[in-house]
Amino acid sequence: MIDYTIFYKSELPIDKDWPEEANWDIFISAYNSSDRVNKVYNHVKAATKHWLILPDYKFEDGQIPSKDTFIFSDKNEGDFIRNYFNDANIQEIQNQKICIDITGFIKPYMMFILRWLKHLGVTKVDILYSEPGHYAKKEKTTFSDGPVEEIRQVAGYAGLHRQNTTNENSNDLLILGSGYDDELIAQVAEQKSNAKKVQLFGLPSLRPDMYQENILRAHKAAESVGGDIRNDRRSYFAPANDPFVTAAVLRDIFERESSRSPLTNVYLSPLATKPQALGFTIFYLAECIDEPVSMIYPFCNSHAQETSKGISRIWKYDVELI
Amino acid sequence: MSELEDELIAKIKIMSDTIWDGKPSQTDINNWLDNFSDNTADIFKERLHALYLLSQFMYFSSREMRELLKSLYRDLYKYPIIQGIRRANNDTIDVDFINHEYAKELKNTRFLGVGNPSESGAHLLYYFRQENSLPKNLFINSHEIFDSITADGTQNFLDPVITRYVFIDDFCGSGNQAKKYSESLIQAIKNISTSVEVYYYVLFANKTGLDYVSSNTLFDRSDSIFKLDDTFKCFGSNSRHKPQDLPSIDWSFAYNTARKYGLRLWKDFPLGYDDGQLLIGFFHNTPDNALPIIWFDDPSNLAWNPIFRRYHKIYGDA
Amino acid sequence: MAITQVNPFDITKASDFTDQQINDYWVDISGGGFVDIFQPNSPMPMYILGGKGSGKTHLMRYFAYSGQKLRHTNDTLKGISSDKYIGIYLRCGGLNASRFSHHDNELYQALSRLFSYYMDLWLAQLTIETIVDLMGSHNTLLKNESHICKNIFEIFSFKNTQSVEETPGTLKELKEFLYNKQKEVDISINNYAFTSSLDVKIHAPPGRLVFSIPKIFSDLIPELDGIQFLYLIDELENLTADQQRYVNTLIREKERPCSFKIGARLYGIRTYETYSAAEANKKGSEYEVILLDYTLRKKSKNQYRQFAKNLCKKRLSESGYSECIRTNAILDSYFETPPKETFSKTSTQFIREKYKGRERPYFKSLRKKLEQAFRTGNAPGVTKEVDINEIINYLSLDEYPLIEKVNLFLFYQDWYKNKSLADSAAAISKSCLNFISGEKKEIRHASALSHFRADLMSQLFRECDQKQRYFGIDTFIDMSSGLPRNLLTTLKYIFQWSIFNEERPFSQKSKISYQSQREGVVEASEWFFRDARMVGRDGECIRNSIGRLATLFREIRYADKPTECSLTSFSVDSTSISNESKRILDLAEKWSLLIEIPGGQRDRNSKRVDQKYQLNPMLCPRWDLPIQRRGTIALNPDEINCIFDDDYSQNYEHLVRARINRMTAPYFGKKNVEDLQHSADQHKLPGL
Repeated sequence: MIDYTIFYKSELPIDKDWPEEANWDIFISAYNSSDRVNKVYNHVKAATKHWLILPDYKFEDGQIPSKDTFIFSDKNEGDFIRNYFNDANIQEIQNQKICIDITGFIKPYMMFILRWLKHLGVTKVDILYSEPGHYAKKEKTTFSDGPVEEIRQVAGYAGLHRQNTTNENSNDLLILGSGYDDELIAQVAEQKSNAKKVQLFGLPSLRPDMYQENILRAHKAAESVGGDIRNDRRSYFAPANDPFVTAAVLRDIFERESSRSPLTNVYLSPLATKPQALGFTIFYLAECIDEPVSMIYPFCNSHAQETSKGISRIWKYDVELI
Repeated sequence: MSELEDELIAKIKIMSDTIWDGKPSQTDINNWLDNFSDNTADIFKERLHALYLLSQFMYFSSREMRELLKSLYRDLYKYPIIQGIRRANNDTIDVDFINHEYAKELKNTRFLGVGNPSESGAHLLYYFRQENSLPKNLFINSHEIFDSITADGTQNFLDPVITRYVFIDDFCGSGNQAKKYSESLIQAIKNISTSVEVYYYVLFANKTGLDYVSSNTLFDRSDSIFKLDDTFKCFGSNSRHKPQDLPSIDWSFAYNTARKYGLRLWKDFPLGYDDGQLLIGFFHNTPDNALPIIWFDDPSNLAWNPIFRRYHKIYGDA
Repeated sequence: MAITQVNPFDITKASDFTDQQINDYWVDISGGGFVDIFQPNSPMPMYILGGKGSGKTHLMRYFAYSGQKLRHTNDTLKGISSDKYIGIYLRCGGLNASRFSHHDNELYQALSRLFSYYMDLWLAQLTIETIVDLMGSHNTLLKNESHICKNIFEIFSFKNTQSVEETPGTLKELKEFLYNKQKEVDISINNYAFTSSLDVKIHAPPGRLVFSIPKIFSDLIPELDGIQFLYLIDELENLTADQQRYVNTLIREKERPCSFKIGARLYGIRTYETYSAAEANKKGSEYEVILLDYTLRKKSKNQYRQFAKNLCKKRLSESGYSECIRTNAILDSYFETPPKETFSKTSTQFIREKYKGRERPYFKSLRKKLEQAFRTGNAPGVTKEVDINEIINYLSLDEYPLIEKVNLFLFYQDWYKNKSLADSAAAISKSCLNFISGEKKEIRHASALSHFRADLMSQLFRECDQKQRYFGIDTFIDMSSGLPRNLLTTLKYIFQWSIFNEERPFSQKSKISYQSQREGVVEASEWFFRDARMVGRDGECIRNSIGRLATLFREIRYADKPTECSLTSFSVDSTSISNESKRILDLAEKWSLLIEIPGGQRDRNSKRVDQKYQLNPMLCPRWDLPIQRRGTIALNPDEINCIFDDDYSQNYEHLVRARINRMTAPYFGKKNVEDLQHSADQHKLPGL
């Protein structure tokens, strides 16, 4: 059995040189206008660097870098990433040292790219994630993304599905990675109104006050999610910036929830930080393929073009796609 | 009651209903606001500002503290050791091997609390041990580090096999306490052996305090789960507590109110020990670096209803 | 103080209950209960549409096989025979139908066909599972098992495929086979992301499994002969329009012994069209519709109230609050409510105390208006400054602030009609004294008080800096407008506030205070507004429209001379409004933010019958509006458009202003503001 918590993670210095091993054959990043995404792109040492221009950001020509960009209009994450890899034509990808900065990725794209890499036989990927210079209050308030258009399975994570004739047999479970956006939490919870719901909160949070703020906001979705947040079978914790512990906690949740009666269908929905979503992805890829487990996500028509300033921390996660 | 007051009460109620484990109730809030009763025309203004400060408070109840103690063990203590084992063994992912090696390291570690046994450090150790299912023998008091002094004046370890001494505490303010430990206890350890490692791990630390510990003490490693930078200083120039868009909150009035009443409670540090100005508390206690108006409780001395009481006597008070 | 009291209203959603709990919590409406509404035996397909919290899923699960089984614990088969139907329950959400959709047209068509096959497989498995559970060890079934399996297996065709499938000999093997076929579809859908192709074959014609399997059982098992196989398909809103067309087609083409009951949200039906020669199903011939909220609301107010109180008492008793929750009167008594007084002396006592020795705010306001009007020559009958004092004296009645408000109301009415203000005040004073003493019947006073009592009380509270009050279990029941979930949520919040305020709710020790009731109600109102979570851009439009509408109602309520009492409804001539307004209005109703009032509103002049809508009472506290509706306002097309159509919303301020001005002293909309300022400057008297 894998122990996710043994995997390497480290903090990279912002202004100093990065260690020797931090250089790669291919570096992939999703473009946005923030300082951190651009700074990291420039700092990274890689033979090939690619910018993915995600259609959800609705960038115009003048707003994006002039070279090494891959632009497709496919709003479906599966089509987009597949088209990218076809175009990029990377030879013997399973032998390449790959690094992806997930900071600018919209979560379903990040999830699918890892799924695709696993499908291609890649076993190791280094993932970078950076936090903005400072979390002014403004940055903590949302995201002015477009309204949720649909809630569906992420491409490649559709899973199998089982029925239940009576509620007695039903042990559907929805695991929500609950972040600041109560609207998303509520929409996803309502979509799976029949399932038992469990929330995973980021604690330790990225900053000391963020956990409490998270609870305050997620509380607005309380009616939709149901259950008492203090019930330790309904809410769990994992560090907001640690995908590996997140994956381990997910496994704990599975074990606990299936101990009384077998789980029928499980839905995973990471709605908080990117590292948390990465954790969900790692767990799914290791343990849930071909199982009645799927990842569902609230898709919006557009995403706010982030313009945060500065970098406070850069994390590197050495992910093994087992 | 103004609309803002309603909003603030509603916010506090949510916290109370959820992660603050039922405190404070409306009655508790009223009793606390009654403290702000100087007979001036500003009575409602004072109460509004006090209420605002309360709504900014960060409180970590027992469940959260236990989780942080889990994190301290898993992320601060265990993970670097695991990483070390892997790197020394060709980046192995053989979990059985890693666990075996780790068990050896753990066996030769001892965990201690900071401060005397009646203080929060020791309290925390109990939960730390419970949450992480660790055996009792890994936990000692500081007097159990050394053997009695021999006839020729040398001192040895009581248990020379120990390779790590890990000191745990809930809060590091200025770092002075750690420094005191370093100068006495840690120095003594290092005198016997420089290869024995000594760590200082806390749940919350003022960034400046932790930096101070790193550069001015003999601890081999010092770290905290949460680092409080200057934005957590309530009335500091970069304060995150200062509202951006609430016209009825006059920040200098808030400062003056907190200070005025604070002076009556603790004249040396009206805004918290070492001018900490923090708005933070834990289920087992409130640090004295927090604003005294929040925690002051000394019925024999002065009538004041705290909202998140502190149980210790103030350091330095007779 | 830790929260130790259990909140009896905590679980509010059907899905939080087990089947046993649904059976137990079921409290049937007295006289003509749900069975009559549902008619599980009838072969006529039915759509059961309900808003969130209408109890729709409760209803469907109650009538499903699992519910039947619980009710016929001794002999389920016998019970099914007497029920004459067996309920096969499918929750569309479980299909995760969004997987069967794609923007690429060709792929979309292929996925649509695949969806039909998938749904059929799903229903087939459910049917077999149900029958096995019912009579799996029964002789007649066992005797015919392989025959049944063979017949069902023959529905499948494996021509043009390389798969060699063995005929299942037992129902267990058959279920396994069906599940494998379903799994093939699941896998191929997921693999599309990698292969860009759907490599799965459809092995059975659409609908065949759905109709043939029940027929096979019916034919071969005597005990099932004459039993209707009722497919209960719930959560239809989770299917796309095309997917719904497939379900509609099944309905249209249905064969005995099958029938359907479809459960969906009000907004959930995207189409009634079918794939059968592009015909749409027609209401009354192919299907019937039950609007559950409407049906619940149609029950007499008392019937619903009784139902609701029974539900509450049951909840309380099951949570351990057994302290004499026997009668309604006792339940009522747990909530702080004002004593019944004709002139609300107790409720307005605080005004006497707060403004002791000072002019009450509404008179202060009147004084200001009179002074202003006097300056500009708009105060008929007022010749000197001292007249103003006299007027105010006439209208005052220290002991009864509510009556003072009635006096003021009548006074403003007279002012609007340009009557002499001095004479008006004197006359009102005389009538008032008669009215108070009861010596003479004073129609004006009696009528104004009877119609506008609630509004005038609200004005009083607002003017005297008090929050609006919402109290009494009857109010909360009315607020829930026929939907039990709304009531339970409201009570849940009230309970939480009561605990926070350190009261002991539902004990003899203390009543639930006004404050706790109000805060709970306002929180529930906020929740309801947020909870109408409409996916997509329309959500914002609808919410903004409701905000504009509610604000208009509020402005009217708190005006000097409101034209309608307890105003939360409006009428509209739908033929004259913009298409977008129509669309948004319709959506708002489907999302239960507006409730359409049956019968409409007959226009006074044209005799045309306009549509009439009420703001959902759950939303009213958010804008300080009353729960009970009485008056209705006819909004003209321009007004409707500026409320519901974003393209016209910039006119909103102006149009609302115009309406409100007509209700506001001293000018009642008759003068232009600039003119007034000018004439005010001209007529400034010394000392004023």
